[in-house]
Amino acid sequence: MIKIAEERIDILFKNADEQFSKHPERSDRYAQMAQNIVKKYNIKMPRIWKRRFCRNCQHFLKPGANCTVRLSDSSVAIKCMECGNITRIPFINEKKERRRRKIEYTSKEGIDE
Amino acid sequence: MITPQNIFRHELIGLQVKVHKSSHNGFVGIQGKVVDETKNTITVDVDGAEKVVPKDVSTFHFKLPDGEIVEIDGRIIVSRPEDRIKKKFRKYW
Repeated sequence: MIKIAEERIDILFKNADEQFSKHPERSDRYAQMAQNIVKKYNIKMPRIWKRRFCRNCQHFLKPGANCTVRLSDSSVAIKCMECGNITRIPFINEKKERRRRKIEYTSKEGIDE
Repeated sequence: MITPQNIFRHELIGLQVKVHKSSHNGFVGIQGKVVDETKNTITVDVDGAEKVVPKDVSTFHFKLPDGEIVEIDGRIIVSRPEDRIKKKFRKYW
């Protein structure tokens, strides 16, 4: 049952991607149906489609056509052109871990010499 | 994967469909791709025009992506698309 729900979400978003250029209202409706399934069965949205819709107005987003993606202040800022809402996803933790790993690597090299 | 055993729980949007029988003659012979679905109707795209077909008076022939054709009575799939996933349907086997 949960497997069928996951397959259905995948099929809906793939169809939304194909229909976006000619019929954008169909894409919005498919994105809304996929969010209904996620809400009702309490499962996680697949990682590929997690950032492809607006959390405020529930429209399907395509970068370059109706949304912009920028990096600002150690976070990814996705701005929806339809409603003006900005979604920020921070990546400061990944940056700190990378810095920590780099210091360990260089300090170990120093000991070996 | 969509199989004939789980098609009544699966997604109908994107499949090719043909209305085989109906109690109203205007619905017979409509064929095309499923575009939308509500509790009582299916919207079919026929060469650019959209036609709305009610579910409970018609019999549909769905064509699966691997080539099989499944015949379904419309009364079985009367429900909202998100309700159909966990639903019903022991006695029709």
